Amino acid sequence: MKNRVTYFFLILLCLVSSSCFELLEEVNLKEDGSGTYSFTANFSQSKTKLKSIMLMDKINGHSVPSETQIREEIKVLERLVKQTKGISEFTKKLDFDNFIFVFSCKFDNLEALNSAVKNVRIAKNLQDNTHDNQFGYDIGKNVFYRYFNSTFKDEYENLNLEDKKVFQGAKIISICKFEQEVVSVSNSNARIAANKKAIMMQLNVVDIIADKSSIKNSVTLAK
Amino acid sequence: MKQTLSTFLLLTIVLVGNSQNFTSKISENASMVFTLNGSTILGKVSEKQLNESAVFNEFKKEFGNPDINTLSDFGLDFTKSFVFAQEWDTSMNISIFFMPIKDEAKFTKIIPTSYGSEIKKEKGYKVLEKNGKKIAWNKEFAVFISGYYVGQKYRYRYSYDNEFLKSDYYTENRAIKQIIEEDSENTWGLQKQSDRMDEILGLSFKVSELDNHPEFPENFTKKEIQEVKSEMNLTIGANQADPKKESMEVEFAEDVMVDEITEALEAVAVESADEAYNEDEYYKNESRKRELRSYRADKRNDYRNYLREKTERKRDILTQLLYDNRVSSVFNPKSNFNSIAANSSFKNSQDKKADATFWVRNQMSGNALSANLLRELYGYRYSRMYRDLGVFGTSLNQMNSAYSVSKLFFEKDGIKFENNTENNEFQLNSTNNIYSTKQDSRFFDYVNGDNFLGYMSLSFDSKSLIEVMPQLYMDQYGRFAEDRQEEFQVMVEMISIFLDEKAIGELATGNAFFVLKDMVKKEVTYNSYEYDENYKSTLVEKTKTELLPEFLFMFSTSNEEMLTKIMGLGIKNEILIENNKYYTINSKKGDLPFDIFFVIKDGIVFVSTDEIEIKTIVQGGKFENNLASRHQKLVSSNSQVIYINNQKLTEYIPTDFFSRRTQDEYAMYKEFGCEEIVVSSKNKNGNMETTGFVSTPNNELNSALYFFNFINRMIEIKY
Repeated sequence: MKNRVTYFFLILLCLVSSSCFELLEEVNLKEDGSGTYSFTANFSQSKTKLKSIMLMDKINGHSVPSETQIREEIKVLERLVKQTKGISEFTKKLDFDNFIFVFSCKFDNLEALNSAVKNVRIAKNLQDNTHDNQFGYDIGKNVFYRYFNSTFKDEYENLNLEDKKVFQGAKIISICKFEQEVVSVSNSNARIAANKKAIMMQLNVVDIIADKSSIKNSVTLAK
Repeated sequence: MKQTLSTFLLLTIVLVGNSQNFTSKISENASMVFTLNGSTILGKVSEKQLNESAVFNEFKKEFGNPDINTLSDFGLDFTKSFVFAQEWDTSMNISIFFMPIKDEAKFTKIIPTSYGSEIKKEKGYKVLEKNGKKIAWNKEFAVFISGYYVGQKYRYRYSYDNEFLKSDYYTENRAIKQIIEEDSENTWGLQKQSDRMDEILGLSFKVSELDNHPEFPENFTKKEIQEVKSEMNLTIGANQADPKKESMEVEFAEDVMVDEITEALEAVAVESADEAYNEDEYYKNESRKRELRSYRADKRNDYRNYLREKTERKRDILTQLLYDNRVSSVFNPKSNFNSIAANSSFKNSQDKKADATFWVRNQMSGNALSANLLRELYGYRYSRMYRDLGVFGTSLNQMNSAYSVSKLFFEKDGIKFENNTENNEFQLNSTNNIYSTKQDSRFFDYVNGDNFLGYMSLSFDSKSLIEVMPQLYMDQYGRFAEDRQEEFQVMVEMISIFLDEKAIGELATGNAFFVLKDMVKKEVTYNSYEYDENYKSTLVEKTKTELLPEFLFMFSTSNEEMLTKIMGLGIKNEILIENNKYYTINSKKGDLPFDIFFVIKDGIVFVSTDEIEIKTIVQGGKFENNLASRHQKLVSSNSQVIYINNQKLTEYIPTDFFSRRTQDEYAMYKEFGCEEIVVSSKNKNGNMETTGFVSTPNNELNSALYFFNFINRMIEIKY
């Protein structure tokens, strides 16, 4: 009975607290195709809810991983990324008080970043290779490509309502910075910075899943 | 949702009756019997109301039979009892559902449409079969039988000890090396290599011929059926012998498989390290080894599959034979058939006033269920089961009781649920010792009237609980390993020595009260990023308002000194902050989602989310208008109480939390919603009596009609 009341209490807390998060990716691309990449998962807005969830074993029928399990899982990913040729200076900052997780690395070329993604996919036994190619850079034409194909629509539709709610209010922010000035962008959601050397896209995760908007983009840079 | 709701209708609202005596047809080994006593319900929700309801409309669509327009078109007699039972023995778990028939012609017309097979006529009844399940009926009633095999004899296991499938990696590897030497030109085919290998290994058979086994015919042969009958000492028809009971031997075949694979992998690793290194030659030989191993593995797998199918066919034959036996025994009962009706607990559980009765036998030892549990017990899910069956997980109410009886009543002003345990002697004594306490009435002074969303009250003697706990675990788990009783008993006594019941009992006496006072808006901080004109990001702190629960938790202690020492440790390790006479757990330091304050005063530990409340308690503040007398009475006369003011609580759950489709339903739930939910339990002569009550608005004639209209409205909104 005691456990059930605790669960009731925690579930009540989950019900009334919000669940928003933002995913932020930032690519700093040099003219020679090398650069730095960082990815931030910021769940700070949902920290009350996440702290409650972390005290439970299960939510919506899914097992809740412990902090140790999450750290272990991240270690595995870290090892895979670090082992990828062309990737260096991998760093991570895991803040479980505010639920902000930042990962960054240097890359020799964008192919190396793509390989890191592919290595993780293979290690996780995922068959769908649609997302292996995330970025591209045509040095000759000075065009930067952000690839993306939305393949999550069906999976999302199959989720139950409770799980779908997790994505409501979530945002993806994609920032790309260059040494050269931006001449044009293909995605109308991309805004060009005042110094013309960066672009930013801020999109709703739900819209991306539903294929209503996309972070797919090609950025033509000045020669 | 659609299926759930409409099925719910037929199972809980429509099924009615109390005259047909199906209980005499239920085996004495039934572990559960569910009786829907709906003649009482039909008086509350009329057949006309049911026929015209949205629920029934949905059911009609789902059933997809144009001949169904009203309930009576089913041909069933909804004025008699419907009974569902589960029967266990060492071979099968059989689910058996009895339905009274009013108009056999209608029933016979409807059922084949959904079953899609031909009716067979047996002695005194008709039968239909689909996917192994059977439905059989005569003029008076129908019985639906399904289930699954839980025995061990016809459960396929990895054939580790089978001489045709046995292989030793090292010996075979040496043989392959010899073959490669003998056939250095690599001119032999795989079959010849394999046969030569058998010679080298001295096998009396050829692995290459293992796939030369007979194909199984689509239908079971007479020979197969006879084999099963003879192995299980089974005959069919009236006055048959009972099937031989299986002895409980559980093997863990999967483990063997894992060991074998691990062994092979280790061998490969060793071999790779020892191999003389000549790259071309090495890879060529490795490739030949792999091919030959793979050839032989395929042949063995084929044979293994043959053995698996053979076992599974026997299992299916046995299942069918047992179903036939069971159906036959229902319509042509043997004179020596022992029914559940003779069980005094079951007999006493029958209540004509209850709308539904759920009788459960909790004693599981010696039957097939315990075989399953045994597997669970030693399997990877051990910890899950520990919790699922654990003492606190299910509260002490149902610990190991011999029987449990639950009843449901649709009363005028609410839905009532009753559950009573029938404990064995040890449990009677334990329950008496643990639950003879009374709630600490001092708690009442810290609760403001009935100004709360809900509460939980718990009163037990923690010293007695700790004393009895080792034995409880012994009872819970020891019965799964009867050959280890002595070891378990020694362990229990050891634990008892280490546990200082008195000391622990003094720390927390067992009286506790949790009250959810309110949901309050609180400003909380969070981090986000802001970007300048060139999209350089900066981490900034922002604030937002969140709705957070405000609670007070109190428990009695007789050892303030010890608890204060424990607090000291918390302060030393920076988990606690000591304020002026009270303590704080800082949410930033701990894993909690908000700050928690607490104090020990006059033998009560107070834990609250409200700092002002704790400060007031420190200064001796109490409510003049203490816990409302109605609740005081409830709490004082029960060992456990859970109270939820549903109307108040739902006000706090924001409608926009739900998706647009669900918002309407939630709004309706709030509009129709029940007012209060109360669950209480108390000790009565060593047995626990639990009562649950969901009060419903008084704008309907009775709670059944309220509930029925509620579901109807839900369906109308949804579709």
